[in-house]
This record gives sequence, C-alpha cells and structure tokens, in this order.
Amino acid sequence: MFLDQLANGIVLGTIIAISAVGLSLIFGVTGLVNFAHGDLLTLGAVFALVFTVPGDVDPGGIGLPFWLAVVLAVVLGGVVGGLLERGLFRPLRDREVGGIALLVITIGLALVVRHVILLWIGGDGYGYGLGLQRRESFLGIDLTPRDVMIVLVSLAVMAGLGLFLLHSRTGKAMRALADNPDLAEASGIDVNRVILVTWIIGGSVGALGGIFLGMTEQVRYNMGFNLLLLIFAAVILGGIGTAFGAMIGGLIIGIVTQVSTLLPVIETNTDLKLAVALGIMIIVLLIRPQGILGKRERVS
Amino acid sequence: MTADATAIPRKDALVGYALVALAILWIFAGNGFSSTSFNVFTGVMISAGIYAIAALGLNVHFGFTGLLNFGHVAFMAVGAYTAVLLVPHGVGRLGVVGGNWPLIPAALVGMALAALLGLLLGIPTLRLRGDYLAIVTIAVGEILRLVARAAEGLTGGVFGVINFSNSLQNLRPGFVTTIARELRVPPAQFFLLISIWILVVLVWLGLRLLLRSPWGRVLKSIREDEEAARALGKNVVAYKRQSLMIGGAIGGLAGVMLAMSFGTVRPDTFLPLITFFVWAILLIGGAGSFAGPIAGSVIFWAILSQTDSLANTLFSSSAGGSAVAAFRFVLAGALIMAIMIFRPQGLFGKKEELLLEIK
Amino acid sequence: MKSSSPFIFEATNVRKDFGGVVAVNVDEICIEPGTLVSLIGPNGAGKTTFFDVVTGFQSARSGQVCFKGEPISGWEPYKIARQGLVRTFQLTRVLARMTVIDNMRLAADDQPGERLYGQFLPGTVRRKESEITGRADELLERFALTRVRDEYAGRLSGGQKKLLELARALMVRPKMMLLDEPMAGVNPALGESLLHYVQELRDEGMTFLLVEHDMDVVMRISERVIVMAAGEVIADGLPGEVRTDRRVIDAYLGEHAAEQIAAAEAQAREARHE
Repeated sequence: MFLDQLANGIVLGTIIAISAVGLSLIFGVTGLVNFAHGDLLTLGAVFALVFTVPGDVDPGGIGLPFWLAVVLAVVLGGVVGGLLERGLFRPLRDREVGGIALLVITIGLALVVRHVILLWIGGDGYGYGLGLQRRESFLGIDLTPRDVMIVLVSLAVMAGLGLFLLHSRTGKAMRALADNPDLAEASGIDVNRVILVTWIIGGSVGALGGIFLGMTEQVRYNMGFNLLLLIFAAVILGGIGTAFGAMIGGLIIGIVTQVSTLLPVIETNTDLKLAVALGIMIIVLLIRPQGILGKRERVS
Repeated sequence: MTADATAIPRKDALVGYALVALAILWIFAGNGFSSTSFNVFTGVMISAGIYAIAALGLNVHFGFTGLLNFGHVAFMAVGAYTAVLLVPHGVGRLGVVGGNWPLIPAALVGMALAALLGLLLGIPTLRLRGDYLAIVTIAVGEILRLVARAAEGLTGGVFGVINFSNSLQNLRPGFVTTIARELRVPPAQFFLLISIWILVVLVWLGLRLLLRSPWGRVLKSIREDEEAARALGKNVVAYKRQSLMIGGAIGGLAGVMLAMSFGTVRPDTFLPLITFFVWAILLIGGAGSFAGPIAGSVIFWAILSQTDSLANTLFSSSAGGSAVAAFRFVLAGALIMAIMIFRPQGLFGKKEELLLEIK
Repeated sequence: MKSSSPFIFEATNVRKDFGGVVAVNVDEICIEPGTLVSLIGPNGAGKTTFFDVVTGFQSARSGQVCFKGEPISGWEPYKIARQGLVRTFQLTRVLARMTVIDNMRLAADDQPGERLYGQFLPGTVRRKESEITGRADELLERFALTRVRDEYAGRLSGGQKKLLELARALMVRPKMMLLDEPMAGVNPALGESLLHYVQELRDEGMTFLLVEHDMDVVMRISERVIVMAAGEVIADGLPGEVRTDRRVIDAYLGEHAAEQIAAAEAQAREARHE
C-alpha cells in the first residue's frame, strides 16, 4: 500500500513540479502570481484532447496520433503564453497598471478560460483513449510504463530547463531579472524579450504538465484549477520565484499528499489530501516563509 | 471629520445611481412589467442584498486595508454552517433533527466564528507580502468545502443541512404577510427580502461610522503607506488582523442570509466561484467606497438575471443549466478584467485613492 | 535593567550585512539627553541602514540597542516609536491622500478611538479628538503650516512636506528623534526655519540624531559629530575636532564629487515625487 502510494506520489509530484515551474518562473521574472496558471494547464490538456480524439468520439476531435497531438498542444500552449504577454500583460505594464490590478486580472482571466473550456467540452471528464496498462516493477516500485514515461520526460524537460537557466544567455537574464530587476534592467537586458520568452516557456511547459495530468486522471474543465492549490503549496515550499525550488517543492508535495491518503480520514475522502498540502504550506509560512531555496527579502 | 475620505466626484456618483435605476428598470422591462416582474425583482434583489453584504465585508479587507482575500466564501460558509446548525434543523441522509437556538444569537455566533477564521488566516500571512494572503485564502476557501463534505457527522456531508428556514420566518410580523399578499409575492420571499435589506443598511451604517472613526483613519494610513504608519507607532499587523476579522464577520452574516435564501446548506453551496462574484461586484461598485458594493451588487445581479435568458437563447435551451452557469462565470471573469483594465476605480471609487502595489 | 547611564540612547556592536556585504558595523554610538548630534559620512556609509536597524525597520545580525536604559533591540518599529524614539525618512512619507490635519491627528499617540473598543466610548473619543486637534493646530502654527491645514498632504511643496513630517513626528510625543536628511530638497529659507525649529526643540529638552549632508549646517548646529564610513564609526567628537581629523578628510575628499551627484539625484527624485 505504502509503496503504491509512494509510486503515485512520485508521478503526481513530477506533474506538480513541471506545472509549478512555469508559475514560479513568471513570478520570478515579472513579480506576478498568475492565478490563471492552472487553467492554462487545462487548456493544454484540452488542446491535446481535441487533436487526438477521433471526430465521432466526444467531445469531437481530429484524430491525430497522440504523440503528435502532444507536440502540437505544447507548441500551442507556448503560443497562448506568448499571446497573453504580448496582447494583455505587456500593454498593461506599458500603461503602468499596478501589481494588485494585474493579480486581480489573472483571477478574471482564470474564470474566463475555465468556463470557456466548460462551454467548449462540457462538464464531463475525458480520457485520451490510451488504453489501460499493467503495473510493472521499476527499481522496486510498481508503475505503469506510461507513468515511467511521464516521470522521465518531466525530469528530462526540467533538467533541460535547468541547463537553459544556468547556461544560456536568456536563462541567465531571467535569473538576473528575478534577483534584481532594477540592476538587470540597468545592465542592458532586453526586459520585454526576456519576459516574452518566460511566458512562452511557462505556457508550453504548463501545457505539458496539463497533458500529463490528463493522462493520469481525466481531462476536465476544472482539473487545472484543482491542481493549482497543490502548485501553490509546492512553490511556497520550494521558494516562490525560484524554478529549482518549484521542482523540489513539487516532488515533496506530490509524495506527501499522495502518501497521506493512507491516513484513516483521508483514505475515505481523498480530496482531503488538498488539506494536507495546505497544512504544509501554512507550516512553511510560519517557520520559513521564503521556502527551501527562496530569498528572505522577497517575502515581506 | 474626514470629508475627503468619501467625497466622490458628483458626476461619477450620479452616473452610478442612474445605472442602478436603469438596472432595476431593466429587470421590470425584461419581464414586460407583468405581474411576474415583481416576483423576478424580488428574487434578484434577494441575491443582490446578500452579495452586497458579502461585498461590504470584502471592501473592509481589500478596499480599506488593501488585503487580498480570494477566499471570501470561506467566511460565508463558516457563518452559514454555524448558524443553521444552531437553529432547529435537519441534517444528513436521515434528516436527523437538532438545534434549538433562535436565529439572531445563532447568526451572531456564526459571525464570531467567521471572525475567528479571519484571526487564524492572519497568523501565517500578515507579516508577509500580500500575495501570500491571496494564496492562503484561495486555498482555505476550497479546503473548508472539502472538510464540510468529509465531516458528515456534523455537516451532513453532501446531503447537507435542511429545514432551518422557519427560524427566520418565525420572526415575520403579520403586516409583512399582508403586504406580500397585496403585492402577490410569496410572504416568505418578501420577508427574506426585507430582512436582508435591513441588514444591508445596518452593515452599511455601521461601517460608515467605524471607517470614519480614528480607527478607520489608521486603516487608511496603512493602505496608503504601511511604513509611515509603523514609524508613527501604529501596530500595523494588529490593525490588519482586526480588518480581517471584521470583514470576515460581515462575510459570515452574508453566508447566513445565503443559507436562508437557499433553504438548504450543502458543501457545494459554497463553491470558490462565489468569491469571484463578490470580487466582480466590489470592483464594479468601486473598492474603498461606501455606496459602491451595494450599487455594484444590484447592477451585477440585474445583468446576471437578464443574461440568463440571453444565454438560453445563445446556447439553445437544450444546453441546460451548466451552459448558462458557465456563461455567467465567463461574464463575471470578463467584467473583472474589463473593470481592472479600463476603470479600476469602479463606479464610486476615487482614482486617486487606488491601491497600486502589493505590499 | 534600568540603569543610571548618562545616555538616553546607546547602540553597541550593531552589525548588519546584505548578502555578505557589511552595511553597518558600529561598535558604539551613545547619545546624551537633550543634545543635537549629527551623523555624517559619504554615501553608502550605512547611516540610513543604521537608522533602519535601531528603529526596528530592518533586523540586525547582532548588537544591542538601549533607549532610556531599556533594551529595544528586536522590537517592532511601532513599539519603538511608542517608547519615544521616532524617526523620519529620507524621502518624505507624508500620507499624500490624507489632509495635513489628518496626518497630524493620525500620529497622536493616545486616541482611544483608534481601538475597536473605543467605538463604544463616543464621548471620550470626541473629547480626545478635539484635544488632539488642538495640539495639532498648535504645532501647525509653530511650523507655519496653518494655511495648508485642510489641503491634501500630497499637494504640499517638498519643504512643507519635510516640515509636516517633523511636526507629525512630534505628535507622537517623542523623547528623541532620528532625522534622516531633513534638509534634502528644501529651499534655503525653509531649511533655515526648519533648523530653527530643531534647535528650539533641542533647547526644550529634545534629543536629536541627525543625518545631514550640508557640512556648514552640521558644523554650525551640532554639539557632537559622528562620522561613519563603510559601515563603521571613524570619528566621534566636537565639530571642530572632526573637521580636522585626517581619516575624515580622507574618507570625504575622494567622495566629494560622488556626494554632489547623489545630492542632485536626490533632489531630482524628490521633484519627481511631487
């Protein structure tokens, strides 16, 4: 039982981690907590769904091979992220709209995106039609081959992202902006371009996270919003604004909440694992508000 | 004393009141001024009143103190559950009967517990940047609902709490029934409408007094410049905590009245989306103004009640309730965005007093 | 811990660093009651950070601060202010969207109406409010601000804002004031009257620690001058002694040009602020 939940936790944890990276990067670079991030995940999952489902199966799609659908959805997720920056957030920044207004705007955006999806695919849950798989033992833990693939691809994407942040010009600029916006701007970084790249990465990686979530559960209009709470817990635990913190925090939150479903009360009401995540979040805020990897100055 | 605090440009206020009048006219016109139009009006104004109270509470948080509370529904849920479990009610699958409190003390305890929730929420968050309060409140709003669903022994789980409405209707004086019959509205509905709007006025008056007092002056200084307030010896965290508690108690009251209007309380009565209706209302009316939350609520519910029929024609009546509900939320979200982008001060707010940066 | 120390303010071994860079490293700054002491030093010497640390706005890495014989290190800023140690800011922090008189009333330290329970004592609150308003009006009179009493504070000139900040701080009834560049961005005439008020208050028994850039002013009005550079106190003595101190001259001469640029910048910032 414990090993099963540990296995589920590792899968959930990597999904949270990869979904949290985008939120954390965007916060780091722009200072904006994007409450619509969860719904961008859903959007990615829905794109993949309508690309891969045949036309005669609900909600009606175009029947591409799954891998191609995933690639297209991830690209489209990046496009959506980029469009939000170019069409909404950059113009608002140029008009010097304040941080509070931006935060509230992301709340409105979340409502719009989530319910446009509801109008689009309805309230039911859908699968990608991938068929059931049997669990096999990997390194002593039972997982389906698909789970293993999700974990490995997520880890590879995060490793790639890590290398990008540490070594590429743009990645370094992103970290510089997150560390000290004034200094970075003064040192000649093209801030708008860096922010655009951040949104594109956040959107595409988020879409991938949404697809993975849809593969382990179902694609539903509110799936991303439900994951958002776990993502928040993850970024606060890891240190808000740090991409590496989001990865570590995501893994921990995924494993702890999933293993907590073995506890008597939560066993019968698995939704309550969200309460465990909230508990962790509040404890972190009380004893180390900057999280595992965060910097003290950012929190107050 | 602080005439400047609430003075709004006269033209803006006139436009605001005109819009309220138009909204009400719209409800009647949309129903052909027929005998049913007063019934529709009653229904809309019940919702508008409840959400006006909720928005007045959120206004204390956001409008007057700058606190980003995205979990207002949690306060409403605590107030509602507490009150309906104290008054005579049935609960759960079997409808087990319990409770013997009169409504008014029960509602007061509900408000007190909602205030207690505010106190607790403040502990991990108030010393940190504003975004942390936003994150924790949005999480608590969702999780309380899940806890209510799991705690079936207390809350009846998904079956909820029922048969408590008499605790309000028992207070109905005879003349209200007579008038209601004259107007051809169900007396229970009519009395609900009246009690809700009496509460709206009481809360509004109370907040006006409180926020124009020296206490409100300190709150205002915190909204404007926390550091300056600190340097002058004001305990900023304590004031924010009090603001959370007072706004939370008012939210709890709104929850009690929401319960009375629904007649049942289930965990899914308190979806996080309610919070965002309240936000839309507050932003329409203008955060930090006194009349704003009330006017905003009337306008918002007039729009919603009329768009329901619009949605029905848009998505054909076969689309069913979920499409209509979805359309409502798209509308609420779009309203929130549009107001923040084009008129962040809302109808009654003052542009100069807008809060810009997260502190 | 009440001692018979001759000092009203004692800061010992105060250390503060930002990510490994030492900002403040003060072994000892002690101040006698009723004196006017200036704290000078080149830009980045840690003067403002020292103010922030001793008034609780930033936490120190280590050190002990005593005020009126009581240790106040680690206290919240509001408690330190209530204890009677009040600061002003380099960039004025008047509450722009409140009137001048409300800025003053806000600062009063003893209005029960600021408490929730005070709402149940409307009579007391009203009496107190008129007493406070009286006190505020006297101070406004003294600082030549009566004319703008009912204006929004945001409409005042830079110099008037400085005066308001000083007057407002007095509403807290402090025993000692830390003034961070009270003359920056103030026209000379207003500056003179501001100095005049400071000296008057000192003669009435107030203690001042003053960060100031104008050397003429510092040498003219201070009883003692403390010089900081790179976070440390490098000289402490009578104005005449400090002026001729070798280390002080070294620290300053190299910085003189930078100093002037910084002053110009501060002025521009102030102007944009309005």
